[in-house]
Amino acid sequence: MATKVGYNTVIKTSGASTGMTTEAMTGAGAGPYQLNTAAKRILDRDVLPTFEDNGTPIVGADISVIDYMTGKVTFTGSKTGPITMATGSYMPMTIVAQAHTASISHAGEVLDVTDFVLAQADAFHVRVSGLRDVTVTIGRWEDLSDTFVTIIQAGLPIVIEFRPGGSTKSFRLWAVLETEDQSGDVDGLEQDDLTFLLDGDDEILKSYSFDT
Amino acid sequence: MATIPAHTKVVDIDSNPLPGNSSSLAHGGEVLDDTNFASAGFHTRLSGLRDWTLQASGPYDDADTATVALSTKWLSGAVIAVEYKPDGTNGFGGNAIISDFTLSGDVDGMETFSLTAEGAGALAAVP
Repeated sequence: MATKVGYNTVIKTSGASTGMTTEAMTGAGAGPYQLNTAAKRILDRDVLPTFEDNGTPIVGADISVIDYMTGKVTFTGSKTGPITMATGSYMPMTIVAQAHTASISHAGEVLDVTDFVLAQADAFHVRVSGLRDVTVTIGRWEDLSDTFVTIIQAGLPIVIEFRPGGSTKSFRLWAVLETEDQSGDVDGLEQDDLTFLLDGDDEILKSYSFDT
Repeated sequence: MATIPAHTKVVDIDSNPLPGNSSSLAHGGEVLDDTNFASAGFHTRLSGLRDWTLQASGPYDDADTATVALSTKWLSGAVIAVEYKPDGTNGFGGNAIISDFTLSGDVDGMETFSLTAEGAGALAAVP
């Protein structure tokens, strides 16, 4: 049993997109191949990376899927190797300062599709899954750094990496800072509570992923 | 009287036990009011469509098969096969859709999970 103590939780947010060239990757066959450098595995979803197979550029048609959140690429067919990411951009991540509570909620709309035929079979509601959504909440001690005030005023999405209880398995998502609430009582510490909402994209692996 | 200590409970997700320490199965249903003037001053009712909801929570184990499956099934929108067995063997089961799967933890506590899944069809006795 691999339960986790809460104090080992790691939660990070992204900085400015940073370019990179000729980055080594590890994999076999058609993939997936993953960037060797862990700190560069969260890719800027607005920058299309390019790849080379033993120094030869790989055409876009040979790419099956790119997981921007874990730095992986899978090809339509087997490659000779070594595979490198010729060009791309990654999101550098830094730990959220003074955080002491964190949660990630995966929600899903549940749509009722019950009709007369289905209901007459067993009189139970029948449902299918609708839109999915993710919410991240972070509670931190206020430090007047204005880091998140700047983010919320800019209104731009950032990347969040959440490792519950210090797990080796991360959840990563692009999210928009919805609220930042600063509060404090006379007998306590000033608190800064943040709520982020998933910002999806035209491909799920551009905006959300998790390690299995 | 056959009482059941709750620690014997087993909640299976896709045939794998979920490592929770609290769970509940709510059997519900629509109750349709068909009261009319001839109802002698009392409401009269009929049973409509039935419904059910599973809730579970406990310590988060990132290596647990059932827990890992929850993330995968939530992402794909696929149903999970649920079995709720208060004595570890007998209970109820059916397919459900994950409406909420939350991981949370404070600096001074355990990392925990909570799950809410809504019935996607019939709930039947197991085994």
